[in-house]
Amino acid sequence: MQVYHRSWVSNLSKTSVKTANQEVRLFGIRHHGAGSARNLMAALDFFDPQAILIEGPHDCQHLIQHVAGQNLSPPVAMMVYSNSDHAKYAYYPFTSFSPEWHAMHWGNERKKIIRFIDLPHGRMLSLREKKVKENNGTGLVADPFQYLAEIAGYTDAEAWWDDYIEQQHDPHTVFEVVSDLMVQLRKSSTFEHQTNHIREAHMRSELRKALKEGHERVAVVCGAWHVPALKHLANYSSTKDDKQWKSSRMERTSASWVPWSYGRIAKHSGYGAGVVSPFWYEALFEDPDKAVARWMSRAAKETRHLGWQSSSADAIEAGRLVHALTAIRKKNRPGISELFDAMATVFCHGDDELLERLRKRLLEGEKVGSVDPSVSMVPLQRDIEKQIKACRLSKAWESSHPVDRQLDIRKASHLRISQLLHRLTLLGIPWGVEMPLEHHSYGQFHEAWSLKWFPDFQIQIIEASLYGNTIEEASFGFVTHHLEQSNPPLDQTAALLLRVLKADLRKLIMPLCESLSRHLATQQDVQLLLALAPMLVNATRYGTTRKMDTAGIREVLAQLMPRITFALPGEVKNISDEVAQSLYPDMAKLDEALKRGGDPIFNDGWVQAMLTIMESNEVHGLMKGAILRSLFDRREYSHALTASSLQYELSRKGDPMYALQFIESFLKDGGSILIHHGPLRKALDSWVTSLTEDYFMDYLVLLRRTFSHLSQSEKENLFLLLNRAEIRQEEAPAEALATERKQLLQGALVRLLGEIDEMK
Amino acid sequence: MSKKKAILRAAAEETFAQELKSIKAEDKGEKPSNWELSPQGVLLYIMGGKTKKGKPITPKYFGQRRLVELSIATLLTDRALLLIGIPGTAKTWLSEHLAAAISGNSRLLVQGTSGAGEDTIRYGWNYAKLLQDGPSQEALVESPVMAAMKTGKLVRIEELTRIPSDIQDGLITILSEKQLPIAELNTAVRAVEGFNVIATANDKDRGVHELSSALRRRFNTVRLPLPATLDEEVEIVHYRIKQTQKATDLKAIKEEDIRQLITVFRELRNGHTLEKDQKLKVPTSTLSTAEAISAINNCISLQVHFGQDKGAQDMLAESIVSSVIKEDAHDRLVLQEYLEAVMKMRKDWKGLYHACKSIIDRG
Repeated sequence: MQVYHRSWVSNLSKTSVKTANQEVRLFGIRHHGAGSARNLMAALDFFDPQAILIEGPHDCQHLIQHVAGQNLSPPVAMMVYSNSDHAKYAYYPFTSFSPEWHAMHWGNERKKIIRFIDLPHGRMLSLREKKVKENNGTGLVADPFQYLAEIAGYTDAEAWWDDYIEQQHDPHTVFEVVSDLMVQLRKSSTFEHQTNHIREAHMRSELRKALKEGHERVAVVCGAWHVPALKHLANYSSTKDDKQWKSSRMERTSASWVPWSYGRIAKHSGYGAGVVSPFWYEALFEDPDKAVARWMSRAAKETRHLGWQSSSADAIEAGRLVHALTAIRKKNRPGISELFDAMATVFCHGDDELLERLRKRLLEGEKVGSVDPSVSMVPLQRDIEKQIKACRLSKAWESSHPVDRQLDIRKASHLRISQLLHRLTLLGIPWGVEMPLEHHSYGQFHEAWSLKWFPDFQIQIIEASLYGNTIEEASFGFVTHHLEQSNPPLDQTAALLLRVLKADLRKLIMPLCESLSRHLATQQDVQLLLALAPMLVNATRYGTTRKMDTAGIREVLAQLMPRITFALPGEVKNISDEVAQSLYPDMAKLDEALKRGGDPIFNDGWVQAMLTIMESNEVHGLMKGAILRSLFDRREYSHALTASSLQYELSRKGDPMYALQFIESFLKDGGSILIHHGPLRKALDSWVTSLTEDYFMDYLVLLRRTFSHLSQSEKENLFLLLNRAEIRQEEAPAEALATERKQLLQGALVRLLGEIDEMK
Repeated sequence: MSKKKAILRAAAEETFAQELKSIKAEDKGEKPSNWELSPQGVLLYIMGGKTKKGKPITPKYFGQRRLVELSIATLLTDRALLLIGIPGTAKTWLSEHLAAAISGNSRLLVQGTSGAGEDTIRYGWNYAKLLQDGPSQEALVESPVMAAMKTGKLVRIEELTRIPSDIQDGLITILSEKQLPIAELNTAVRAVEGFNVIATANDKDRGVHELSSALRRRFNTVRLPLPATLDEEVEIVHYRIKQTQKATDLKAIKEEDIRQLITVFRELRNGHTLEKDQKLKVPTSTLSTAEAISAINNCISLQVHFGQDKGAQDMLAESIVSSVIKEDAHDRLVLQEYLEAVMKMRKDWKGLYHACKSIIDRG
């Protein structure tokens, strides 16, 4: 390979095209290539072009001016979106080691003309819609250098670049080598990419335009793959080129700078031109000689974060090892594989699992760029940032690390944060995710949030900005839009209602309630009603704590609850397992919600319905078990009545499956009920011992699963209680059990409760 | 002297003297001070290949190249090398060949045992002289470590984690200060360039005397894995058997038999079948590649010397059963379960199944 490349370096064809007193130089780069960036800067200094043409979407032209001073700190991306449909968008990311980024910086600082010459994104969109048949095949076009590196046996294109290309210390020659390489590659490639041809036609048209303007020195910075297509302008007809790209429809687009993150530039994120490790390339770009040291000290730091010991001495040793390895492998510069091999040996003591964890942290390590608000922003975003600032959460916004917040909404400042987070969630910007509270508090005043920022929020903000320019306005717009649909899904409306309450958008409560009651009237599906009810019950409870007018919700419930309590007893008869499985959770939720604080009227109706269901014999075991438990918990059934009901329900010998489902839902909330209430325990115990051996063996697995909900200590207590009971029985011969049965009891229960001795 | 008696097992540098010589002859790479070969040369010696003149070099280690590269690179740095892995992963084998290639001497060896005293790592005394003349250079008995320091060679410490912790820690000064103080003579031995330590440690009894963190920091750790695939392992076993057995004896066993034995070993060792469709219990015995090699060697000897009235399958079964069931009754159950659940189900394994079963049933 090396020999071959030397030979064609010697008969270089010029990448520069000279006509009269004009000169064009083509700089074929690797997107996000640290080596490319360094060479490009040197080459630009040397060539000093008056105009720089960059492979970037033409309709993002106006964003170039912002690349100067402190406005943008990479990684940042240009976001382009269709004006008519915000869901159609694309990002063009840049890092501190992207050659294009430096070309823009270089040009802006020296007041040169800079242009984006690639096909406008508006036209790309329509091309994509036409679904031009593309063969997206190999990584050849996405990253020809990676392709070449792999041929040469490298895993890392940057290391290959350093070894094979960078040896040409004259940056001028480097680009000529690249150009020739690409000409060869394209010649031998059978790859036909229609969009690529159209894009290149556009680039040529732009290049002609720049030449016509009379600039003496024009630099073109583009992906190396395109260099051959721009090399011999004369070989292409200018009218044909124009015609080719003009054939695509132009959609109107808007573009804006947005912060970006390393996570999304990394290859594993699925980004086509992605690099293996952005941090490594950044270090390589800043100072190739110190890159290993920087990487290793970062690795040592991450190791400590993972809770293992590592010292600076380790970092130094790992660095030494990298260089020794590089020498043994006859490479000029270390690459990613050397780094990881050294880390495995020094930091992870040869443990692959540890290495994998460290690799994850190092490769997925985050760095988030920033964009100055003055640069470009939709009004909604300004409002969001204003509100975030008012809530003193600025640090968590655009932060790469999740931030956890515990809120007590009785405090005004916390209430404000809670409202903001709920409003953002309502708008489809899920910055905060509500977490279940740690201690089982019934706190209506506490909320736990985990705040994690994603670059995607930018597009979601733009989508939401369709509805309004401030958070409040957009929220109203969003809900109104939902209600204006011809038939808004009821469950969504109910969920919105709860959200609206939490987000403190009082004015929206009534419209939502009205919509609900209007559409409920025609709704026949009891299951859907059952699913809605708990949300509404919770909403009234929530509204009351926050001193909101919940009369509207109460009215909806007054319409809803009687229908449920009337229809449910009929609905749960003779149903299949699947239906029971899907009804059961909703029923449990409604029961829970009413227990916690439902209106007494609704509560009474619900209890009545449950009593009716208990009377019926065709009800599914899951339902009945849950209902018996609820009636017991509510003290509607006395201990004695519960015990006899339990005994009665379990006595259906023909259908052990029924009994199993019954027990499962009866014990859903744990087994303490069995520990504290002897009669219940006895009823269950005698059922188990009454099973014939065949049944017992057949259902053993299911039985064990049933008891698996019980906690360890519950199991142990229960075991002790059962053993004691037996001893007592032995002492009282009158009640003595037949020996056979006793053995069965002992054997069976011990197995059911898990081998307790073993567990201890 | 009459006929020279064949040595049972010669040191690596003697067995492969020819190879070392031909690599050295054309080794133009930069040699670290006191190294016999350049790092590249060492790599060629271990991984095998051909010299520029076309002389074949046999591969010594069959695992991943990067691990050997890492090991050599470590010896180039300031740190010592710790090879870690379960028994039978060629730790000792690799360390011996590294020492042979780098220092031309693999015999500076400390065998770690739980009874190892300070003298195994530092120095001891010739008590007769000590009593007669008091402490003196002449009364001093060098340890292999001290000898290696003086001559700038590699010293190997086997089973480092079996050595009691306080004795282990004697290595700290040696590795960090590169000197060994002799308090009695008020002097110190300073290590000559080229000195370094290759230690091996067993993963299975890692808890015995875990390295202190101070000592651990003086080592770079390279973990030697078991062969990743069945084919790889079969190839290794085959190669090693060819080295030790006479060509005529080799015929006693078919490749298919070797494959079966290694399949059994891999499945029991990993706790699942090769197809990963069945979970298996794992025996307490170590079923490493080295164990497989010795089992097959055992099988061949049985076949050659006593095999007239028995088939190869019986010998193979004998080897498998004796490898898996060492002392633990639990292992017997594990193997029985394996026979019934896996072996019996495989059509072309019928012969081996019956052979194994009859041995187990015999008790």
